[in-house]
Amino acid sequence: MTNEQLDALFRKVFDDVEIGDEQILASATGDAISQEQTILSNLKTELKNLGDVPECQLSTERLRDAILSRGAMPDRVSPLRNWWKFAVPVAASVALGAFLMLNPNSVDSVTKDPSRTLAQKTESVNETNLEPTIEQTTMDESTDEAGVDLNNIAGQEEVTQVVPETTVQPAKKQTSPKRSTKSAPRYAALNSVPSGGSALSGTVSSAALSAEVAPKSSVVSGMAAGAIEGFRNRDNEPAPAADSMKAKDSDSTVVIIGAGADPQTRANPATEADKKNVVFGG
Amino acid sequence: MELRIALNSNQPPMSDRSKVLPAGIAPDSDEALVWQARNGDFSAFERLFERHRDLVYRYAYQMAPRRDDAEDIVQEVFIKAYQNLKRYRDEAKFTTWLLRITANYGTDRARMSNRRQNLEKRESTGALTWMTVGNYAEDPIDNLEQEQRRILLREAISALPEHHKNAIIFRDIQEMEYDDIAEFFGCSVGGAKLRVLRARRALRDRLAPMIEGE
Repeated sequence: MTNEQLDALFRKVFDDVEIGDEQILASATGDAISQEQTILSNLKTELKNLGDVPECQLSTERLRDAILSRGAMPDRVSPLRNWWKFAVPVAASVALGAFLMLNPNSVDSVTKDPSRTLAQKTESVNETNLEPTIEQTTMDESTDEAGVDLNNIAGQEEVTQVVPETTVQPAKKQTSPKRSTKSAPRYAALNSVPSGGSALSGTVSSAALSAEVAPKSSVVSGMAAGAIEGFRNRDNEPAPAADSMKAKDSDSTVVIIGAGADPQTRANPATEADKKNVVFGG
Repeated sequence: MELRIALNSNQPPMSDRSKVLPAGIAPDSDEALVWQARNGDFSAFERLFERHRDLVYRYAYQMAPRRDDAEDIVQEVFIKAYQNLKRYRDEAKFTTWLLRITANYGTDRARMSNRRQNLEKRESTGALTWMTVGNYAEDPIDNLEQEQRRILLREAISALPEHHKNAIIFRDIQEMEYDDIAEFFGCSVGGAKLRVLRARRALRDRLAPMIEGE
């Protein structure tokens, strides 16, 4: 008996006859077919008898007690089931956080307002013990560290009038070690911009004291060099223009500043002259 | 706490009683009862249990031919179904889902208790089973022979691969339709027919030595 004939016989015995099975079985001859058919019929009956099972006595109460005793609860849908919905915002937050952590200066540049930046600059000046501060060097100040009346110094008024007064906020006394290191390089820039002009005017006042003689109509250029030297000593940091100023000091030239103001520039006229040709005195 | 009250009183929780059945679901269908059970109505789940208890039990009995074991399987299956009710998808029939749970649990249980069952069978090889199991003919000898054949057939079915065993149980023992068998296996009706045919031939080959001996 071929496999095809056996399959057809299975289908016939188990009532799954398909088209063509009768032709296949008709071609088969011999007692083998009938014998196999008897075996399969008995198998079918035996299998059907296996379906006779005793009645189920599991009650609803037993199931209920089992559920209650185990504390079984219907499974709730986990909020993490839709985790992909939160993936994009979480990834964006993580990326932003990582960026901010790696670039803290970017936060400062974004969040700082100009006034706060200026205040921090003045702090940095303060922290490096750069005295006198901007506040102390304004025109309102009438005395310097030594307590000398600056208004009484000859020629000082003319010098300070040239420099425009800046609107710098008062320096704060609070110090921050982190900011002192960060803002230290800003000092050079602060010294070279207009605010540096006011600082220079303050240094001039102290330098004027160091000069032996201060004529009413002129100021010795060495005073400026002395002022820069004072900066260097206090900050232990070389001033950018100090060397050039010192070189000028070594020459024997003197800058004479006149008393009247120029109508165009509104500044006092200044002329250079050889030191030998100038007589110092009152 | 709300569930416990609902279980004891056979009433759905107050917060869920007002929920309306979605459109397209027949009020007394399995889908409606599943929907109500999902929303906390344990009485709906009890109705599902009473409706499909015998189906699961007959299938479980073929895997564990003892009434106590089969009832334990039924209980575990319905507990698992209750716990995982949210995972049931409406694409498949609820009965198919239940039978899948039963098949998985029965397979795991058979693996775990295989050694214990072998020992018990060895100790009581046909000693008293004919007195406690099955239909009884008037002639005790015929009764014993019939029971012996039944045992051999069960052993032969149990020795089959899992997919062959399920095909035989569903089609030839429980006489399920090919549509339901195909849904259980996740195949077409033709595929289900082919699986059943192969399973029958495998069973026939396994029984051949015993048949020829007779």
